Amino acid sequence: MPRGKSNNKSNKKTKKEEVNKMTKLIPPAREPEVMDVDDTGGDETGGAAEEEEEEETQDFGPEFNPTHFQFLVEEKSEQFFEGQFQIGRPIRAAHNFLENPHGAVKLFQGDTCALCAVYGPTEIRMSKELPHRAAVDVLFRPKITGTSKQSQMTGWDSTLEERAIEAKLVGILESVLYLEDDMGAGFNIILHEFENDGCLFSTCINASALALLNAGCSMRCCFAGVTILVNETNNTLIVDPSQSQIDSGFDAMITFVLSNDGHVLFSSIQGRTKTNMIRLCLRQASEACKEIFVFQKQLQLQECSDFINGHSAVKPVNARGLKDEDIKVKLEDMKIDEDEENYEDLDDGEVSSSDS
Amino acid sequence: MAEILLSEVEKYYLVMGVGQDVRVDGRSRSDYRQGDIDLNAVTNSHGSIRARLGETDVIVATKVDLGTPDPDRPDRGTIKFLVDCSPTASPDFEGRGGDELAEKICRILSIAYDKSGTIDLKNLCITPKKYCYVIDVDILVLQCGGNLIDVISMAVKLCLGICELPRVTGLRYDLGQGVPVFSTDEFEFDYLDVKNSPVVVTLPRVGRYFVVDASLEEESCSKGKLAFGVTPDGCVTSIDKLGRGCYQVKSIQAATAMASTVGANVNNTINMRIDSLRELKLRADPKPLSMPMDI
Repeated sequence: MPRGKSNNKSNKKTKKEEVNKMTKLIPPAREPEVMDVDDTGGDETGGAAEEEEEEETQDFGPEFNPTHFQFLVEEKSEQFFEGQFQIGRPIRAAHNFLENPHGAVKLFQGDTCALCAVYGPTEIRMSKELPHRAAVDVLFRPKITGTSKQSQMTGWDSTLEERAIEAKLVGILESVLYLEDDMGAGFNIILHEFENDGCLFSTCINASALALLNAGCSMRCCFAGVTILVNETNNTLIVDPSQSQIDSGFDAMITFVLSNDGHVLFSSIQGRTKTNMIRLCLRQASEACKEIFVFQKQLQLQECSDFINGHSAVKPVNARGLKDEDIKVKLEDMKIDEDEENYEDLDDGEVSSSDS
Repeated sequence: MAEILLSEVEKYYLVMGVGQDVRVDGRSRSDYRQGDIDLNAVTNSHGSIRARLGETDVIVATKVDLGTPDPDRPDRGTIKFLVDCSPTASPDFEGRGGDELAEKICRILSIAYDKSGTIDLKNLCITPKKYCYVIDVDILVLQCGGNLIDVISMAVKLCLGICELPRVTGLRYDLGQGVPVFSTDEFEFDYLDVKNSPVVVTLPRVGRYFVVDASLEEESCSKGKLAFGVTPDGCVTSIDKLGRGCYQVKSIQAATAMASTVGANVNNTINMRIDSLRELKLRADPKPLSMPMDI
């Protein structure tokens, strides 16, 4: 194959130099540990009180590859923060799930899992702009998308369910966020369902609350959502039921969204039950929500300490694992070609006379 | 995708740095960023991987189904790709916004896998003309931090490598038609042979040089990209030109040479990783043993 320009040769020389540099400076390979994620799938009422744990961040060196390929490191990338709970299923949150969005959180309530990413306040499309306040747009993506044959046959359009969740959440957020502060801006809240083991809606609400806190959006209050199952025959209330408990029948399923200053932001009921049962449910819900608020506070403290200690989501991009002191580039070694001084304007798109 | 706005001075710094083989984050022109792999990101699939390289974050899941083969190719199974750009990557991807990018990536992947013959699709056939495995590969783009196509192709190769195909234990005759019956044992599955499947290496041209694994800033300073599908032995299975830019024949030759060496290395790393992941799956399986251990 005919060689390109002399650039190719200089490329090869620097490659050899790099490999030599590499063999001296790379620290000896460490055995990467494989950690299993603590999978606590509690689905009974009053789930066992979880001890406050945090998974320690392990620092693995890059795998030493003789062909100077230092990527695909075996590292535990999701660090979960667990809270202490008496009521409801154990909750785990990974707060450094994604770096790009302003706020992102992956939340587990027992086995139900939802991811929430928040962009806001930010620019939005002209069609959605409002002149007097910011607009709120919620997008919910279920795990299985698309119209299945089943929905065509039964006539039940699952997309309506998705729109309903989005509309309910927009209503809640419009009363919580300070929208008049950012006119013409927009808040984009994106929810992804990863797993539905019951109470997906309340998981989504809690995930968006954490994501908004993570993004630092100004809110009038913190909010939390909880679902309660009422069974009048056994005279039982189940807080945060799992799918198997829901499937075994209920008289009513009530969802409450409460704020931490004692207000009710949202309530919905499916089924039928007596009014004093609803009052009981509300009392239980406020107890459960208090615990969730404590968890939110602890998670914020955890995020701050992670950020200060340097374990934040933004990881160093150094591909070779070298420290900055080790990369020494002397100014004399950097020779600037005479041609390069007149570099062509990047906007005009014409090919230079000496194309590489 | 959100446009990165850089000042003239930043662009100059970036382009000059690439010329000196020292990029903004200290890498050389042929270095990749650090990446992580997570297994089992999605529970209801036959194999799923979450792959991250720098800021690019992608989840790939495969599902295996029984289907009928294409009438033009009756002795082969099919692999279908679907790319979904989530609005978490950018609010512009909401609704139809991400479809253009998704379609582009889908096309590159299907060409690399279906037409190059690097995965033996005949292994996926159960009964010629009647039944075959249909593998649906779903890709969810969570974050885009540059070099999206490469990360997706790497993740797809890993995912197909750890995808568990349930084994056919026999045929059940229903009114004369033989329908395949799958084994219900968790451990009875086959793996696909993806040793020779290609990985895409995208080379944007920054200034006068090609760079591997460009970040968003470098892509915004580049004049067009060349995406090469490369197999482990360095053969090129497909070339795509993306974006605006024109190349002389010598430049394309130089880029092909670079892509083929880099791609071969990437493929070998991924093949080794697939082997270790397969072993890991067997070791970490939480299925309870039927007999107690101390007998």
